[in-house]
Amino acid sequence: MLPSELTALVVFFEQLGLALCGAACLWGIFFSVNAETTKEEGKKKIFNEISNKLFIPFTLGFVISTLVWLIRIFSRSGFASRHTFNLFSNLSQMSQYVERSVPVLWLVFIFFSLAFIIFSSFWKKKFPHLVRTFYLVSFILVFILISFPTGVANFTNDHLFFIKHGFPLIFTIGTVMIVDFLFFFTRSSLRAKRAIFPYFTTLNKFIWIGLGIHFFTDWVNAAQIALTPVFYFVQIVTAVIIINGMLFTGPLTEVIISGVSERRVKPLEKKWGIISGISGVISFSSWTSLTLATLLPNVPLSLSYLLAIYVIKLVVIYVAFLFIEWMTDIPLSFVNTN
Amino acid sequence: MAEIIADFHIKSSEILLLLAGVSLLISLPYLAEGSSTFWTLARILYGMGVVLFFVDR
Repeated sequence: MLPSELTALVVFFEQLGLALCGAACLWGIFFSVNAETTKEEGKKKIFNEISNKLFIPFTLGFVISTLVWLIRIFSRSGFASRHTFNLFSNLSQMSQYVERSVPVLWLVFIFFSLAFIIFSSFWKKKFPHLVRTFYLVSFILVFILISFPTGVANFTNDHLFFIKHGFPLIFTIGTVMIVDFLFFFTRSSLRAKRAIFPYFTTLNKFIWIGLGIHFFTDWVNAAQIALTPVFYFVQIVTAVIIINGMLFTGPLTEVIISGVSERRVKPLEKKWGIISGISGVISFSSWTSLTLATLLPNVPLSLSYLLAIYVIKLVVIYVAFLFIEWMTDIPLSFVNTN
Repeated sequence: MAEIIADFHIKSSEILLLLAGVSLLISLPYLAEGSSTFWTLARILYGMGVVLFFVDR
């Protein structure tokens, strides 16, 4: 049996992987449908390309979540969050749930995804329309797996709580990672940026809805909330996400979209690249911190320590971001002249 | 800095979301004292902000 802190970390990576899979499927379907409905041939090609390329984050999320799930199963630690402790009276009961119901779905998900990943070039070539079907079936499987980490037997009202804390991760942290992926994928093509950037507003709307579900769920359950350092930390990080998100999804996205529009004659200045980079790093760091903190409600650290760790993490991720840019020679300004 | 701020075009939805974030931060010391007024206000502002965001954009 893993210690609870380690288990929380294991489950965090499982949820992170599943959220990435779910978001890749969701936006894969979205861009595939857009490819079908648009009348412009150029855009149709870009949307289809994006839909296919979202297979990369899907595979990444699949590998992370599957490996972590295997660790979880072999260590027999089925609990997923603090709320699981309310649902199950003891660990053996919890393990029974895990052993009985969840592996069946997980195995279906693993075999289905592996079959598609291994033969993806064949499927895409012979049956291109199957990509969307694959995304749809995978999305449904991921939705169930992320919402019911401990099984679906004897459905009670408490399970609704799981659903509220599970699937919103697809809209929030998963979609945040897809936005980063789209920035990265379109970095060298102005044509792709022109087609994709206007859709960032739609992605942002889903992020706001996802955060809203988290935000209002806490509010509804206010009576049960304990005022621990982790609770205050979660509130501060949520406020950072809201303020940063307000800047990123609103005025900054508008600047980015207008910066790549056909009407604009010169590329955006470097400062906007730096600002969007910082904003992206804050967003990613905050979402991962928030997700992990909700899994560790009783971690014995003071608020100052938690905030210090958060700030150090921000700096480390920003340095890593600059390093990746330098390594891959991506210009800091996301708009170039080609 | 002033130049960057001048280039930003903030809409009403974003002002509400900004106020929601600030209100959430302000609410924390009050929560410790047992008052959840600002905490509730943050939710109301957030809800209004998101609804307006959908209308605005």
